[in-house]
Amino acid sequence: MANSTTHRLESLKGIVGPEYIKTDPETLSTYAVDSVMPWAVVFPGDPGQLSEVVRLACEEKLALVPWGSGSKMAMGALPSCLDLVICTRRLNRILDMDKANLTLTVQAGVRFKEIQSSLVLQEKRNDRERKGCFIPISPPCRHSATLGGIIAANSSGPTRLLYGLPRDIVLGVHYVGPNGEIIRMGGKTVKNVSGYDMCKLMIGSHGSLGILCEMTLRLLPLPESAGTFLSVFAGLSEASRFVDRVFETSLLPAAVEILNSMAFELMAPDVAAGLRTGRFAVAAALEGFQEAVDRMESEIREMALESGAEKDSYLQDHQHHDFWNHYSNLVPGLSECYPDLVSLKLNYPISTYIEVIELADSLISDTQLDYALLAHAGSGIAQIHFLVDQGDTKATDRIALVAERLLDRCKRIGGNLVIERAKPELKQRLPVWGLPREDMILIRRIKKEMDPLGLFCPGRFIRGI
Amino acid sequence: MDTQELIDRIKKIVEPDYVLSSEMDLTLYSYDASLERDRPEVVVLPSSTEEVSGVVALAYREKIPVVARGSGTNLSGGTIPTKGGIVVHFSRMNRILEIDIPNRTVTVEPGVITLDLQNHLLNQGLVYAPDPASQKVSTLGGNLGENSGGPHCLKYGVTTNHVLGAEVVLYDGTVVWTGGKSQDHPGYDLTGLLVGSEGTLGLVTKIILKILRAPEAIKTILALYDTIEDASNTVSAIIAEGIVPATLEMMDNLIMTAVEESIHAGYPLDAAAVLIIELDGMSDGMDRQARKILEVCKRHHVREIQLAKDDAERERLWAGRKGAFGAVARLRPSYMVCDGTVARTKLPQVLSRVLETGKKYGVLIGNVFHAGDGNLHPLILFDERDEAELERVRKAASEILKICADAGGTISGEHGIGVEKIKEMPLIFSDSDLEAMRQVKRAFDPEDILNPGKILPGTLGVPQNG
Repeated sequence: MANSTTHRLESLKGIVGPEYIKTDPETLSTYAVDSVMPWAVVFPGDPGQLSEVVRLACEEKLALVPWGSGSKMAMGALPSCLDLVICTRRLNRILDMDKANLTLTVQAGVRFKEIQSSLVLQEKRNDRERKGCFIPISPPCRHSATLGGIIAANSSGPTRLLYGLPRDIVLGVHYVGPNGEIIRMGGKTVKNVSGYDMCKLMIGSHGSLGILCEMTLRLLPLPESAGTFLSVFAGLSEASRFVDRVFETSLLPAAVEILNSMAFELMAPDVAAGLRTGRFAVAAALEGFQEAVDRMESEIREMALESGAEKDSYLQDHQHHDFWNHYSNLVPGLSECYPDLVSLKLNYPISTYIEVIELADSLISDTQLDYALLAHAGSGIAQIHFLVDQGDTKATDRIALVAERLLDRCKRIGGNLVIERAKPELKQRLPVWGLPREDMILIRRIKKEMDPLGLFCPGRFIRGI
Repeated sequence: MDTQELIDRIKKIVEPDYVLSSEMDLTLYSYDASLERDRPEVVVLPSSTEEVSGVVALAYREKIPVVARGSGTNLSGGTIPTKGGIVVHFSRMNRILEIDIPNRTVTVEPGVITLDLQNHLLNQGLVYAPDPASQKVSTLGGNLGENSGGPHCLKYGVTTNHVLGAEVVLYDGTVVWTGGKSQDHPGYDLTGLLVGSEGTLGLVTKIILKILRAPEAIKTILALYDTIEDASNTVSAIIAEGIVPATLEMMDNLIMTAVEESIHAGYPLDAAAVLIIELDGMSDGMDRQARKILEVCKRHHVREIQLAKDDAERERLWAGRKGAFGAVARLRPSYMVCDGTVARTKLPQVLSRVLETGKKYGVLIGNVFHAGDGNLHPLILFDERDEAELERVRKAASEILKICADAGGTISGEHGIGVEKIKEMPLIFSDSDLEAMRQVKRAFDPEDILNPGKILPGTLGVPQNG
């Protein structure tokens, strides 16, 4: 065994160079997946090296887990085995930034924040100013997240209401399949029906079918104007009355978020100062042409006041950007203060949001735990973060109980509940990916066909595939 | 099993009146809007998911191909039963099952006609955005199978961006739901795979579609040009200005002339190209956007601009575009439409090469297309009875696809691969890429029962031990 390990190590060094494979205990513990340590971490420098590493792993039957910046590594069930972590950090080249065609092609390790900042810059060409553009998704952990990780995890955020999901903006992907081949799907065009839409299969597959190495995304011109309208309500019924009214109009807000008082305090401490608990806040992002944003602001403010808003505020310029940056970085920030943070993601039909939030609120109130709740109104998604104090041994039991009840309700109304972050003890007690649906038979068949040896993230994805 | 026995068995599943096998029936179901032809053994018109499941289960046991079909408007031979077998025609499963405004969804059976749904929704101030040119006859099941586009897809995305879930009959007759009204289900995006799979992965029997509120304002602009280059450059320039219109459609002189003769839309016969530009959304700021667009047009030497003042004028500006495919019949009896797609900044270069290709093969080519998303539709006009000309048409079409592929584009933007473009698949995919797609096909349809012989070149490599 020791011999074969040495032999593998030498082969991997031959592919990536000795400095890009790490086996020291410190690195291994940094790259542990749910406390399971790999025996090596490899940092391939280009797709060719990535392909060779995977080919070798396949020949040697090594279990792999891809890793971008690590911002989503808390997602997933416990690995059933783990040999190699393959880090895409060095696959960080911007291959094509085509502002005229509004497309962007990057390698998987490119960080979202960096590329987004360079896209928004305006440029002068032929005496004409070309407007800035942006990747129209608002993923969590934007400071550290890589595009490969965002796509593999199907990350989205508040502005999905107006701009859609990763599935709406990914035009092409290159990935390394389980036998080490580089597979190239889709392309640079917005319309493309040549062959199966394999991009869809890769989005949200959490590394279980291959490792993304390159992707082409659709961009949008930067909105001319943007602002955020914040309002605070005495309770959920007032807040939801306001939200429902907004959705009955022909206004097109980019995001409408419902936040409980804890979430609101964390996000906008200035506005939330002195707020009593039990309050709900609504944050509406308004983006578009100047005239449209102005009208949305005034009409939305009026609707908020008529629905009983106790307090309101309009954020512009850097305040607007800061607010949503804060939103995106809530989890990494919280997990620093609360290493035992537990995060749940609930999905349900859009119209059932009140019953889901009410149930969550009443179940969690009984537990005496602090929690932040953030719901994408209009998309049927809510996130709940339990701020668990270290050493609070009873918290796990209480959270497990709440999660089970919520899962049961979501499932009954056609949704589900995913545990996005938790200690291994809690993950072992609950179905991390929620309850499987009848399409599980197809999911298993695809996994078996595409990764017959089961080497890609074994045990981590839905039902342990 | 011989054909008669097959027919008898199917008649036990579906009402005998809806099992068709006369010479005439089989001939009627032997073609679609492409040039391909082949006859099925029997045609079935089921009325429910259970009946579809029964027919597919029978086909699976007997290893008989099953081809799903809507109105047969597809342009790549996807619904042609090239290996015989059973055609399942969804015309009787044509109910709108539910309009769920609070959840912004509509649930339909696959045989609902696209425009029927759209008209029905519009009465309630709602829209289903994808608007393929064939929407008057095409079915939503067909739109799903082909991942259809249409003019408004520039802003709103194609069919796949509007399909939330589907009830699917699998290869052995099992019925499962993928996706649903709730978004972000953990697991693979099977709905996304089914859309555009041309009936090769399953037979969809119910569809949940996303609906939107109808935009409060629409502005339609017609811009006429003396050169195709100016028109194509305008397309990129508008988007560079930070405006993504709802549509950016283009027609060249040949098409305009044909349209003018049949519809009298008011196009000057000596213009080289026309753009139809439509803005929609909130009314605020739209006038300013329109002014910006007019400035861009002027900068690119527009010859004349018409702005629709009301719905009737808007209809008139669109009439020419919508009637274009029909109008070309005045020039030649048949056409073949290519569907290559490129990045929109490549349009001027690719268009001129398309016209050169027409000259090279001595065939007439007209262009009417979705310029905003780089989706070309060169119509190659000919007479099907002229075998030699048909051969030249096929060669020209293949060369045009190669031009698009060489320009970094793709061979089909919205019409599908079907049988027509199988031989061009290697232009854009390697063996490994195609093998990855075969893996998907084998996972969904291990015995190659569902619409066999489509999309993927080469053999499927179905293991004999199953």
